Amino acid sequence: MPKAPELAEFVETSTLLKARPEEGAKDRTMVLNMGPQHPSTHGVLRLVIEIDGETVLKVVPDIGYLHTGIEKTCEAKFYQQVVPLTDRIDYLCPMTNNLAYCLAVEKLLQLEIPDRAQWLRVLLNELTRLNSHLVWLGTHAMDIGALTVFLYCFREREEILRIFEHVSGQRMMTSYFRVGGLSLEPPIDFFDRVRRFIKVMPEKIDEYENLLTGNPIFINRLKGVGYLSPEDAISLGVTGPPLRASGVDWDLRRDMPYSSYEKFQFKVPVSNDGDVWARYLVRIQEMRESVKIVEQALEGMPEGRITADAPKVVLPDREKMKTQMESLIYHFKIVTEGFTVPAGQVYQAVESPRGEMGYYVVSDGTAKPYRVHMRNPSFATLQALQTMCAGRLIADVVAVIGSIDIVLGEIDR
Amino acid sequence: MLSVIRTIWNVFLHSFRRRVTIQYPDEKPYLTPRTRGRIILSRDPDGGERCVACHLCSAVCPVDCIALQATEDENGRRYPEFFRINFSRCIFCGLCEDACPTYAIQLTPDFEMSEHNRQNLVYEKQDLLISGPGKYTGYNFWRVSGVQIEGKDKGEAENEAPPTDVYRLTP
Repeated sequence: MPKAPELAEFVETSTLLKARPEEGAKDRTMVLNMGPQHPSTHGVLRLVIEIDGETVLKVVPDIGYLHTGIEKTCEAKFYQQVVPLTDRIDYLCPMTNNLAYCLAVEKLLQLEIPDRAQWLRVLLNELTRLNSHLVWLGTHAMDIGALTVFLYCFREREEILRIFEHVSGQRMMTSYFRVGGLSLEPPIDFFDRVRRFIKVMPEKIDEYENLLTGNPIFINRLKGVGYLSPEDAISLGVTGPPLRASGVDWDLRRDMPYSSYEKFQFKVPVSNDGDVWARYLVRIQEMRESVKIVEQALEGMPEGRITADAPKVVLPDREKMKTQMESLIYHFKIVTEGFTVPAGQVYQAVESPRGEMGYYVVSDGTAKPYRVHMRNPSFATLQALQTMCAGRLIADVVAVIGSIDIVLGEIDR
Repeated sequence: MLSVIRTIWNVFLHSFRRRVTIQYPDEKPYLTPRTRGRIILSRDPDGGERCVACHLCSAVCPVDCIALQATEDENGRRYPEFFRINFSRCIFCGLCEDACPTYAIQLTPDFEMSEHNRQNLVYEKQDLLISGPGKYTGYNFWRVSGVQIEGKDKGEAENEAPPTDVYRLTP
């Protein structure tokens, strides 16, 4: 067995060495360490930046500080036990993660999900998108120096989190979706509450725009900063709002619809500027479109069951379970042994607030997944940092990190 | 310039809005009944333990934080000899509540469980068991189940027909 390398040896051979200045350039450039405990790296991201004066030459992200081994942990859990784990990957959009995972397993099982469950999933996913974008807007503006927006955004986010708590039981780690539907019927006043919130939300977005969109300081910090060309964006695998801000009209909700997104009318905001300002405008527009989708979901919410008709996968109705022997047997079987999923592999992507969030699930026919891999949007977007930051000032790095809206839990998994 | 003045005016107007901050320890926020917090073990309306030690909660727990040992009392009722939840592992996912067939294990809207010592987060049965039925009043597993216990013979449960006498000739 090879011996573990000594610390000094490890530092010498690690990839971060590449961030060191070139030979002969020692007198001009220096290496700046940004993070992992830096307020504007949004979590535990460490950036090794090579600078010449204030000009950034090279940005090397050092990731892995939040690595929890979720992918490996999934292999030891039953399919239904993986759902609470998926919340913790991207903690700003738990419902999107739940949805992507459930859709992937449902695809393997070939389950038909009732309309009501699908529409509720869409509704909650758009609320999640609003929630995530509000956090992005607040922290992005705070990085630039506008603290007020942060407080306003978190005021609205609080209401969304309360709605989540009302429907699922927890604010952030919702675990509300199950393979084959939803875990519980939403409470009686849930829809009224969402309706009340959605009614005031456009005004609130106007309020944020009032503070930011016309603000000359904000515009000067953002406009023309962090340019990403559409070719670079595609070749680096950037998805979501940064891709659309670069002028590529691609949204999985419209182009590869899932969970009955094809029944909703919404616009996909696109901008050709490709800079931080464009990403700001695209996300703001997306928030407005999300509000419209939630409104449509509220109007046309179908009646019916919230779980699929699959007694071997979905836990039986509680009333039936208490009175019918067969339901009780299924209940015990599913809880103790899990449900088996036919052997095969499947990739299911959904449009998370950050881009294409994909789950690749391999099943070997048992009750536990053989492999679960997550394709995370932040991971790909972070790679574009070098392209966006090279040749700019250090202060622009902060603006760019804010604009790509990364979540380190998702990058490190 | 105009935009900056408008911003200041906007922020000024906000100082007359209703406050949204809740002064937490003095003022408690409203938590919905579904809130998943501290786990309890409940009793049925007669005051007996609801838990029948079926091990479903510990089987479904994704972080394996529930441990229990089943035993039987002199009346024929199964109950857990010990029931231990390690709250330093618990992720409050609520799968145990979903799995429990007798409504015994329930998650309550209480989140104030901080401890100075990690060992104090391991809750034993006397810490978990409450004296009431919790969220689901009225349900009594031993009244509806067909299991024979002291004081309730076969066929005496609710909605249960007496057992067939196999020695009778009439159908």
